[in-house]
Amino acid sequence: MSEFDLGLKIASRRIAWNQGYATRLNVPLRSYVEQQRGRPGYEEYTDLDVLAVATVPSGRVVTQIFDCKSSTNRTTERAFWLKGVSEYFESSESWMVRPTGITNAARQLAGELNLGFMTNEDLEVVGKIAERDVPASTPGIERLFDPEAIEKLRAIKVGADKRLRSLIDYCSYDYWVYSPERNLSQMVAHLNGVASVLDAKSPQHHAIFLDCIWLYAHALARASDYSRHTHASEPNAALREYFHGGQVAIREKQARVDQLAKASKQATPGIEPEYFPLLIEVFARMYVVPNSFVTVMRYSEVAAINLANSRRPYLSSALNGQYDVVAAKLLYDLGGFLIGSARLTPGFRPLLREIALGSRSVDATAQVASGTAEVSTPSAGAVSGKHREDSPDTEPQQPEGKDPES
Amino acid sequence: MDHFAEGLRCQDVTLGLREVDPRSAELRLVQNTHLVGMAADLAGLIRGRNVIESYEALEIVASETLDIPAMVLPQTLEVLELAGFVEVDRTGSEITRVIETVPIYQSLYSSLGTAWRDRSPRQIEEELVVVVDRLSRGPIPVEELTSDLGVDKSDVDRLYRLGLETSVFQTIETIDGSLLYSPYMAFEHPQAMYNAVVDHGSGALADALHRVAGYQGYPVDALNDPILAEAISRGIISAPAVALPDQTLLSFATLPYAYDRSLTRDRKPVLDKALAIIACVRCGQHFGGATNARDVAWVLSALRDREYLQPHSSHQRQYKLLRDNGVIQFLPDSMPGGSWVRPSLIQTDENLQAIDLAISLVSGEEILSGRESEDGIKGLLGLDAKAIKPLQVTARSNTRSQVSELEIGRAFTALVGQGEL
Repeated sequence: MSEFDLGLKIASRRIAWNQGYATRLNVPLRSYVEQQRGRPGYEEYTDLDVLAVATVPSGRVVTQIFDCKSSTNRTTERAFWLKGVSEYFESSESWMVRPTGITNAARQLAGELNLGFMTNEDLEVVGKIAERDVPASTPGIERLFDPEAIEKLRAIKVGADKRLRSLIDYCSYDYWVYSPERNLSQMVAHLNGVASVLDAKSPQHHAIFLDCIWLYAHALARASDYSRHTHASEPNAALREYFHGGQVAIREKQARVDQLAKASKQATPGIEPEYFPLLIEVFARMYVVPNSFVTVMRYSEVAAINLANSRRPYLSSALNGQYDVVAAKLLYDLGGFLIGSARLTPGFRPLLREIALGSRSVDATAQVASGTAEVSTPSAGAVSGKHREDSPDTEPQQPEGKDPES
Repeated sequence: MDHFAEGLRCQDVTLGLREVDPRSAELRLVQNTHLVGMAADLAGLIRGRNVIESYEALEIVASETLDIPAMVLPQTLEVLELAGFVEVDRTGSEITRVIETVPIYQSLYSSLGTAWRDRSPRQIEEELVVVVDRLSRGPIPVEELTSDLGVDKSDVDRLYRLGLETSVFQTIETIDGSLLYSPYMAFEHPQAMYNAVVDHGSGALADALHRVAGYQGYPVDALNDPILAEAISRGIISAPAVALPDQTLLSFATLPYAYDRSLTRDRKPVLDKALAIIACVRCGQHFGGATNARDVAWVLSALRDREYLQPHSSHQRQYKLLRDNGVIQFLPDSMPGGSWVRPSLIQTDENLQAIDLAISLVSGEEILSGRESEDGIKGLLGLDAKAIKPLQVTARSNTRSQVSELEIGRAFTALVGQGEL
């Protein structure tokens, strides 16, 4: 990744963020192939520079993709490539971002393929037009557009404990190539697979966990889209159908477990996982606030980059008066669901709570109720809502875990 | 009795207690049940709000709409907190904010039933909850409290007095015995039970009504079931009549347990329509003519969700009552030259509510409507407390009975000079 590319990517991210999108840099796509000696069991297709996700007021999930290159060579071929990637992501808008102008032929082709084209100059103008509720210039959000901060978050993923590799690979690659509905169960399974390694005292692990929340909120947004189109008044029924991949898949799975039960002479188990009732609960809460999916993604994006940079991000102050307490609570609900269903240590809960809603007061009853008594909350008792509003956007991180940068 | 029923009945008891003078000594005896019942009410108020930022607003709305005094609200929240349904933010001892996670689809009442058990209720409370649960399935003679429900003999008098004081049950007293019944049972004219008890005895009447409560839309054959036939003719219970294939009319008795008091008052038309719907589908189930309906809940779901029911030779006879009540319309036969009809639901709010209610009743499910606060009231929680002060003032100006019916009865007895001197 050249530094110059990164500048274009950041500028594109800034525009998307200002337009109300949740964003993600460098999304590589790869596929599993037949395993051969001495070769990895996968091959990479391509990678996407910036992916931006939002929901329109009706609840539909829309995406923008940005192809950012510092060179203007082979722009015509690149236009065809971008059209293909655009189809793959079903993006509503696809942009070629280049530092300077391109050939007239390429520009004309971009228009015919329904692609957008922006130069540095365009980026600046569009960026200013797009300023909205939570401007990218808000102090607590700035790190999303800071090359060093971005690099630190990337380094956490690249340099993470090898035992976390299955989760990191899933989030980086597999999530984007699995059928969307499978991610509702795959994320839980992958988190559960590394539950014993994920350390609630490590801010880096929290940053990784917040990235998982981003992806899961995205998966739920797509489930919500399906529900709106098929069973708008019965999101619980729609989620069940979507989760399994449709009615045919439900029958198929049921037939399999029936056969298995018959062969093993055991009672027929259900086809839903144990956590499914909780998934329905959290989904139903988000479903009635269609914009919450993307807001939760944006909040987890802000929290992850700040944690990766050793800052403790209190969303209520980081978002500079534009903080939506219901969305923050839904972030806490969704994180709580993943912690419970993947059987992560409950120690993940207090920091998530602190980031989203501020810490709870120190109260014996309250701690017993939430099962968090074993975990200390560094600023517990000192962080009432009033106090936090007066505090800086983020607090310096307590040294809790080993910083990969050190 | 399972935890679900226990949680539900705590709420039923609490509804009765709302009519009782808060200073009454009797409340002390049922404080665990009262607290868990208030927690159920509160859960219904805050469910889906996610975050309640103004505790003062919660205090006002809970006090004025659910009769949960501000003094008791922290304890009520504690019940929900221990059940994992809320997180309460405090600064010192002061509550500043409530984070809500009351389940939307999972059972609230099972968890509250567990919470009630965990509070180690007094024996008298356990007995009261058992009796209230039994009364949800029909009246019982007082003597069966000990023989059938296992109430301790030494508690009977106290329980009887407590139930009446707290309006949790009501009674028909005759020289032949006493019959207890729930005020939530949707009797048409419960006072008319007096003569039926005198004529048939409390046990026989209770048995007959129990059968109806257990099978809504019970076909009443006057020859073989004289007690029920008399209960219908005296107007004790509702029993819409539907024409059989031989054109004679048969009554289908119903006796729902409706926690939602509005169903027996201003929303009575919804209940009446639901009972008529049940009578019609039960007729199709038992006296369908050419073929009987096998699954009445399925038929009702189809009537609600589909444009119409497929034509049948008996539809015109069987659904005439619903057509006359404006619940359905008859569409012409889909076959050219056919003379059968296709019943089609007239999609009004009232009809849709009635059909949902009918589905719950024929499926033997508990009617949960009315146990949760209305959206308009929930919306008040999002307001600043200052904005809802007028609500408090309005509510204060409303008259509220703080004297139980029993006490009123005693007062009248004294007034006419029949009381103890």
